Amino acid sequence: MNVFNRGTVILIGIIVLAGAAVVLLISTGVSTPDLLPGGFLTTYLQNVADATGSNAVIIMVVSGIVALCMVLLIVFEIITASRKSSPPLISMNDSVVTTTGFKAMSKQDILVISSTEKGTTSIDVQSICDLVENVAITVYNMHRFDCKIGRNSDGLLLSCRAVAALGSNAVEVAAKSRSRVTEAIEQLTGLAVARVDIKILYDKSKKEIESLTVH
Amino acid sequence: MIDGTTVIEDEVVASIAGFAAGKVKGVESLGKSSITSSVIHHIKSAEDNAGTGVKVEVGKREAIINLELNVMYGYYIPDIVDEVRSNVASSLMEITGLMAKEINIRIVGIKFSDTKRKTG
Repeated sequence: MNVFNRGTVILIGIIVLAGAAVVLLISTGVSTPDLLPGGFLTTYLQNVADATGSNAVIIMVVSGIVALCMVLLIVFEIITASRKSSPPLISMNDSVVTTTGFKAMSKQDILVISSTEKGTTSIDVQSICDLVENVAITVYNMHRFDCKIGRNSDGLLLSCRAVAALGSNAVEVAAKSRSRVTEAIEQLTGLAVARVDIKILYDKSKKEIESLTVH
Repeated sequence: MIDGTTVIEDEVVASIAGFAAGKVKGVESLGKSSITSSVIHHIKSAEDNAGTGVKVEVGKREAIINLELNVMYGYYIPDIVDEVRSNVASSLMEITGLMAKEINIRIVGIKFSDTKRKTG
């Protein structure tokens, strides 16, 4: 989910939560119907305040459930956002690729797989990155994998940063990741991979890994 | 025989193309994923969703189709797109009589199943 969508969901969640809280406060008698500034919605809120018996109970229960759901939704969105907003292992200026002339493509760029008179087939760089990252972390002891993608006449150039389990054999883990990533890209997209450069970090505490991130 | 003109709306061509593309094994969905599109996806019926991720340019006898596909992990993309091209072209010809001049396909996502196994 992008930042705009997440922000919209959180904003809607807050508005609904506020509405449910107001209804709950009025239905329980904690507050009066003129709670909102400028007498806004006083007529409707008066109906809530006037509700008795089962109607009042239903209003309380429904507004309570809605408020609880909104709290859970907002908490979930914030937790998910904070998890995803951890800095990438690799920044745009930090190239691991040793080949000269490597120029990382933006994740919004498109790679052409084939072009014939019947039409063009292309793939988003973001999709290749997702593929690489998902395939690489299937290697035992590989915890996290980020990559940038470039291209030269021989094929794709991958510049990757990886976090492996502390004490694991870095050379072996890198070799397995390299092999799986190459195989996945070539076998699934038909694009040739010319080079996969990997810089391994050992998995320490999250804070330490973030401090190791090159900005 | 009564004379008359038949006009096929772009939306109809897009729906046909989207529906034909979505039937191919390995195609997970059409169009870029976002919360807005997924909400719309759930609200709309399957037929209405068929035009999502499809842009068309329709001429008198030919059409150019641009498709955005999300594919499932594990399928060979060139095979999927070949089948999509063939399915879309034949559906268009069968239903509308239009010839697909060009079918441009952009892979916008690869969908993974939730279960991932760590192996040596």
